[in-house]
Amino acid sequence: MNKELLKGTTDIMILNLLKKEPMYGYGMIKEFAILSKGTFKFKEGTLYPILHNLEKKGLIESLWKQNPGERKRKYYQITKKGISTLEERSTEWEIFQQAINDVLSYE
Amino acid sequence: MNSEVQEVDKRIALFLDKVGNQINTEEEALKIKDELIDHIDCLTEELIDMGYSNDEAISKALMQMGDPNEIGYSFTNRDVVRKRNQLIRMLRMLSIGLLIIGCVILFVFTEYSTESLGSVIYFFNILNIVGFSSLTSHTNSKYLMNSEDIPILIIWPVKKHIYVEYIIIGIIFSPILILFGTGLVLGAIEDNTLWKLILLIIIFTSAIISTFLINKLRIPKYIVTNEGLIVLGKFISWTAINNVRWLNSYYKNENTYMLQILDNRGFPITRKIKVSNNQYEMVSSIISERV
Repeated sequence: MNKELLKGTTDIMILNLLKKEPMYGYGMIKEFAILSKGTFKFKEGTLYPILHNLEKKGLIESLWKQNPGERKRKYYQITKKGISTLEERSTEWEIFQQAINDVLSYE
Repeated sequence: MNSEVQEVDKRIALFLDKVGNQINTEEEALKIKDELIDHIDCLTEELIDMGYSNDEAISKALMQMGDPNEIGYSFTNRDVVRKRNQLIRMLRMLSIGLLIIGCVILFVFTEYSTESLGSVIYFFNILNIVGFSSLTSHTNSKYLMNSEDIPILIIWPVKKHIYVEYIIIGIIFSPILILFGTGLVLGAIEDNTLWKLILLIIIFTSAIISTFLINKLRIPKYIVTNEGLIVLGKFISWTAINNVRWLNSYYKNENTYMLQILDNRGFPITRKIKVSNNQYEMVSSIISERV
């Protein structure tokens, strides 16, 4: 998958993933691979700068916690601001996607 | 945290160091290290379950993580660099201002005694140890903020060590400071002017704290981009560089490399660039691809 195509869409995908439940970095990567049927494979370390940036913007928040039988991990969860941003960005994305489809289906 | 890093594989430690080297502050780098270690451990365990040996699993896990320099640099937020630049400028003014005010008050209180001059030199010496030499290269941050050319690599200042000469000067001036300080305290008690003494202590302590804070805020020293090198705000195109020379040096008990950039006539274009051990390989391969 072209890196340029992923740019600008990773934020929205992360926010959508965290809407369901708090997750940690490694779990997110695995979930992305499953949901995209292996299409979204990127260098795993590059996820963390994006997560930290979203946290700085107040769209997600993090906490260290330890589930039974697991080691201590940093979990991320979406904030109220994150949910409203996700809704706005999803609408924008749908419009954009529709426009691209319309242009590409032109013969 | 440090003991944890010591327990991890050397390759992982090197990877973490490379990431950390590109991150704005050491505190931020430490916070991120824990998270990255967890991710690499998860990946390694998964690969071992798939049948890889421990050694192979670590190598493959690090490959999957990506380029550590790129990961580290991605944490660098241009807004943060801009704010840091402003903060450094403010702290520098505050530090120098406080020091001048402190010195003037000290001279006035002690009626221009030679001991007070000794103490002033002592304070300047402390400031020299903790921070003045870090007050360089803010021009590079300006470039980083204004240019659209995304850097390939940022070369941070090599970690500063306490210079032996400053310690010696400090030791020489210590008795003067102790004598002078004791005299000042006794005089203040006698004259019932303890508030003056407290004021002086607050002023000098604040000056030292501000200088310490400046030292903690790292800003890029050299920037490597696709188009060329930025050294102290000056852009040097790859085409202007004819050759480079690496000099190995033993700088303040740490193995570092000195890079000399030469023009067509073989003359150095800039002063020698100090590159730390863990950034050497990366810088060397970038340069050999372009020069």
